Amino acid sequence: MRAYELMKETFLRKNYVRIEHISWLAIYGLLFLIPFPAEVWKWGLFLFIWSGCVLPILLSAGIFGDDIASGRICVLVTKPFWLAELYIYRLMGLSLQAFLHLVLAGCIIFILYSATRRGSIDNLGLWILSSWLVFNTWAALSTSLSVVLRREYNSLLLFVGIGFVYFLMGMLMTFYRDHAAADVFIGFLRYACPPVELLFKLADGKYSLIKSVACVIHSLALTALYGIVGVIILSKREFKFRPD
Amino acid sequence: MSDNVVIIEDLVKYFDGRCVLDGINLKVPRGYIYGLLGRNGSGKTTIIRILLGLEPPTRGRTFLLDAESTNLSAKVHGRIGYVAEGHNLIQNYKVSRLIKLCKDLSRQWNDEFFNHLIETFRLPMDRRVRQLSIGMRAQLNLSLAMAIDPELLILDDPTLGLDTVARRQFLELAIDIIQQQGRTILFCSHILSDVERIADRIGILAGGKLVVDCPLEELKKRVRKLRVIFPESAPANLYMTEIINQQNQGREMIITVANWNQQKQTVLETFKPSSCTEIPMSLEDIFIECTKPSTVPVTDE
Repeated sequence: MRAYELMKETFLRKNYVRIEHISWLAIYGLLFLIPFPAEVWKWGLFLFIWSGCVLPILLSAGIFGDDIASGRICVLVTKPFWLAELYIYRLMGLSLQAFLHLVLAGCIIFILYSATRRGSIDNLGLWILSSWLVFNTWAALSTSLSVVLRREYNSLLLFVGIGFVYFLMGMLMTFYRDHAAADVFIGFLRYACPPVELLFKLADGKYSLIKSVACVIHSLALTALYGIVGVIILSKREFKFRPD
Repeated sequence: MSDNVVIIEDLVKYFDGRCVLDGINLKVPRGYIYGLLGRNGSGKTTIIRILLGLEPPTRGRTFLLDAESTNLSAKVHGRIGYVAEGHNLIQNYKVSRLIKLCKDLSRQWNDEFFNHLIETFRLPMDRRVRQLSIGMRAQLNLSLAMAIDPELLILDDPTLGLDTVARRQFLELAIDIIQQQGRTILFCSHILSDVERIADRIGILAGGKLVVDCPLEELKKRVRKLRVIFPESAPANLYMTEIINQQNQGREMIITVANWNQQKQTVLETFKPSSCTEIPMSLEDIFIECTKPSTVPVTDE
C-alpha cells in the first residue's frame, strides 16, 4: 500500500505530468493526419525517441529538486520508510507511468495504422520494449541528477548535455575517426550512458537473441547503477529548504 | 529503554565557517513538554533538523527514542510526529488527498482522534493546500502529525500564524496529548506566553549556546531582577558573579542576576543599600535578559 501510494504520488505530484501524457498521446493521433509512406516513417522509431527519450526527461523534471527546494521533502522523509524506498518507489512510479503510456501509445498507433495504413509498424512490440528500457535509464539518470540540482534543472542539464554530447560525437566521428581516444569516448557513451544506440539496434531487429538478452540486461543494470548512485546521494543530502 | 526521549551530546554545527551551535548538551525526559526558545537564527530549527536526521552535525551526537539521529530507522520515524516550520505540505494536493497520502504512508493512524481534530479545526477537505490560510495549514499539519499517535511530537514554531482561538485550541490539545501516558513534546516557539502556559522545562539558545536549561518554575526562582538604592551613588562593580545585566543611574542600580542565592545576597548587603526591591519577571523578561550577549548559563546542574 505504501509503495503504491508513493508511486501514485509520482504521477499526481504536478498537474503538468498528466498534461504531458495526454499531449504526448495526442501527438500520435495527430501525426496520422500526415500521409507518411511506409519506407519514410517508422512509428516504432518515433515512439522510441518521442516517448522513450524525451518524455522521461520532462516527467522527471524536479522530481526531487523541487521537493527539496520547497521543503516538501521533510514531509516525505520523516514518514516511516527508508530514503532508498522513497527513491525506488519514485523511480518505479515513473517506470509504471512509462509502461502504461507506451502500451496506450502502441494501441493508438496499431488502431490508427490499421485504419489508415500510413507509415510502418514493423517490430512495434520490440520498439515498445526498447522504449520502456531506454525510458527507465533516462528516468533513473534524471532522478539521480535531481537530488543534487535545484528545482527542474536536471531536465535542462540533460537536454543541454545530450545536445553537447551528440555534437562532440559528430565532431569526433568526422575529424578523429581513427584516433584511439575517440574510440574510448564513443565506447563510454555507448556502454555507460543511456544505451540509445544499443536499444535502437535491438528494436530494429539487428541483434541475435543472445545479444538482445544481453542488451536488455545491460540496460537494466545501467538503470540500477544510476539508481544506486541516486540513493547514495539522497542519503548524504542535507534537506535545506526555502518555503514555497 | 532510556528515560530520556531526546538526548543531545556536545552538538556543534557550523554553517559556512560560522558557528551556529556551540557544544549543546540537552536531555528531554519522557513525558515532558520541553520549550526551546531563542531569537531568530539562534539555531532552534537546526537542532530539530539535526535531531530528525535532515542534516548532519559538524560534531557531537544526537539521539531520538534511543536511536542515533544519523541512522533513524523507518520504525523510529513512525513513532515521531513532526510539524515543520513554515508548514511545507504538498501545496497542489487537495486536503483530502494529502490526508490519504499521509495515512497510507504511516504505520499507524488514529482515525477517531484525527477526525476529532479535523472537526475541531473545521478544515475544508475539498480545498487545495495552497488555498488554505497559514493558520489552517498549521492546523492540518498538526493534525497529520498527531494522527499517528506519536511517542514524541516535535513542533517547530507550530502556532505561528494561528489566531488566538486556534492557538488556545492547540495548547489544550498539546496538554491532552501529554496526559496520555508516555507522550513527550519538544517544541520551539517565538510566542513566549504559549511556552509559559504549557512547557515543563525550558531551554534558551543564545550565541550558539544553551544558556538556560531547567524547569520553568526553577528558572523564575533563579533569575532575579532587583532595584537597589544606595545612600550615595551606586557602585560600578558589585564583585558578584553571574550578573546578567546591570544598569546604574545615580543612586539607583537595576541588576539581573542568574542563580540568585544567599551568598549573593550577603555580598549585596556589604554595600549597605538603602533599599532593595525585587522586580517581578515574566518569561518574556527573562528571555530578553538571557539572550543578551554576555549571558551566563542558568542550568539545574
